[in-house]
Amino acid sequence: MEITLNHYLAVAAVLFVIGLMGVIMRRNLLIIYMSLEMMLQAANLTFVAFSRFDNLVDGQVFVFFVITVAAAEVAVGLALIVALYRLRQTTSVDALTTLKF
Amino acid sequence: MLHLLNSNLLPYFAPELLVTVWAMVLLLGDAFFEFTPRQTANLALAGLAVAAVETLLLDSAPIVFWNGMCIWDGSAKFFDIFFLAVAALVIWMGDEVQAPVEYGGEFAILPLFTTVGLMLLASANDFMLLFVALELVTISFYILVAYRRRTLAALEAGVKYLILGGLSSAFLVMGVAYIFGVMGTTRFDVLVNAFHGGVPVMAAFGLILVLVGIGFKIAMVPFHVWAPDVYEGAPNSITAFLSVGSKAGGLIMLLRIALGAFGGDGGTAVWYPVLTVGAILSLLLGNLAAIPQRNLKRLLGYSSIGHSGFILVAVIGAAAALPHLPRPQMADINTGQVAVSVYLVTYLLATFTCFIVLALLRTRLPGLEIHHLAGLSQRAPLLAAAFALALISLAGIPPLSGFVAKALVVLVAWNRGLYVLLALVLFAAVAALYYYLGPIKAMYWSEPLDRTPIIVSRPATVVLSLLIALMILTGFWPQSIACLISGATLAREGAAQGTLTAAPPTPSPSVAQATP
Repeated sequence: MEITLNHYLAVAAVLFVIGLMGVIMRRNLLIIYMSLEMMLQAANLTFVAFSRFDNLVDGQVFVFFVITVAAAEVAVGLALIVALYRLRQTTSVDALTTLKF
Repeated sequence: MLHLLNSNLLPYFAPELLVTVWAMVLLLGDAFFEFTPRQTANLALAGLAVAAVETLLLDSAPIVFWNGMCIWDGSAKFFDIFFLAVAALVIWMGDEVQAPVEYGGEFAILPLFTTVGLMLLASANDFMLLFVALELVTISFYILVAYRRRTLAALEAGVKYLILGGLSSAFLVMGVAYIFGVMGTTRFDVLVNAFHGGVPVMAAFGLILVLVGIGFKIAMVPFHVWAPDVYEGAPNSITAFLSVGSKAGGLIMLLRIALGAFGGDGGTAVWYPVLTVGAILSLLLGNLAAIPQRNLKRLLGYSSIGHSGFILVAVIGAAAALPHLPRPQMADINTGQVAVSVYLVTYLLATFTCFIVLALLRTRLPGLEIHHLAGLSQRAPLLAAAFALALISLAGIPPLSGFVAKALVVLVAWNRGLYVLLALVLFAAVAALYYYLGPIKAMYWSEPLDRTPIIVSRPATVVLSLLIALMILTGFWPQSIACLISGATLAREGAAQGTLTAAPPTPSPSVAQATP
């Protein structure tokens, strides 16, 4: 079977949805953060697939930007989660109850 | 890189470069020369002033440069000045109003980076630059929101903003990937000419995902859940920055994408229903959910969601052609854009007044609930008057500037035949009256528990008086805003007439003539 553009897009869409479900349903901040990264990788995969099949290099350039920016985001995000852990000794979202209606 | 710096287009990019370089110099200076936070803040303000002068000197003739990456036009100029003013107020607040001991020098430097990101957003003509600029804004905001990292509330706000900000970025990138895949480009001025006979389904889906991403930024319902929590947990100056700067950043993105890249008939048919639903829900939920709030920062958080709804109505009214509605006059389209700019200016004045007052009161009152304000007019007449006037302006009662903005939105909705939105705007404005009058009632018609006067420092008095004066001036004399924002229009018509230096390869009919 030949692997076409649609196969890549389907895998990327599945990855995206798994990531989204993870963000919504998981209770651990680290896992939620991993799921967010998974969503970004789904977008990257879409970009690379389109780039490859349309013969346009722009998509791959975009992926480099996404990877770089995601690295910066992870650096700040993990620092925040570590700071929260130091204060609460947990990384569960159920502990985030100070700000409530 | 060298030819970029030598090019005669450099002046259009100079404000951004200047602020970036200045922020880095200050970071190094902070590390090596042990500036006090006050010195750092003053230096940062000086840098912003130079950048603002530089921006004001540029003309606003539309021009696309650097291979279509950047665009310069009236809107870019207006928003650049707007963001510089916001950043100056934020840095001043962080230094003067909030205790400087609590915050290090970075608290004045990080907003500079955010401002660069916001200014780049205003002149982005390509999803690539838009994404990088947006992330610069978002990542620096993560740090600023959670700046008081020994406080649980601040950290919680930071983490919530982190997760939902990351989610919005993921939606945005996925959407851009689909648009790129179908259309083969990420440039806005090429995209607008690429849709002949409707938007392909996948690109439409991509556009909706992008709108979801932007919806998070401007706190559009149902993507608003982060706003009240983050507003409450962040330092006051940063809450004001989020509420004004980040919202304006999201709006210029929305203008560039919805009116620019997808401004044709096909694109409008996709985003029009999405934004209409968003506007209706924001107007209803933002204003109704604010009514039971007792915490002032949460109340302003919900009211900010409501204001997004008002501005969205103006954005919809600025569209070239709406489905099932008569094709508008050019003047009506311009009124829509003017309404967005005017609304943002009046919103800036009122919101910053509110948050400066709240920041001044934070250490002097036992808490920031409505009942803590009781009898404030006897303890601090200036603060009470400033807060009351700001709330009246936000509520849109004449003759303050907020009324001009609300009236323009109503006018736009009426002219374009958006009667459902018009009815909701009026309903929301009335509902808003109720919760804006609550704090005013407490300040003026309740007896204080503690009668000691609250002393306000001289700089704070001057800035607050200036903001009040501007609110009243622009209310009585709306032309003063009009001359400020004259020419603050997107370059979309200019693009169609081929006046841009780097016009897209295929000439196309103008947006206004694109009828089949």
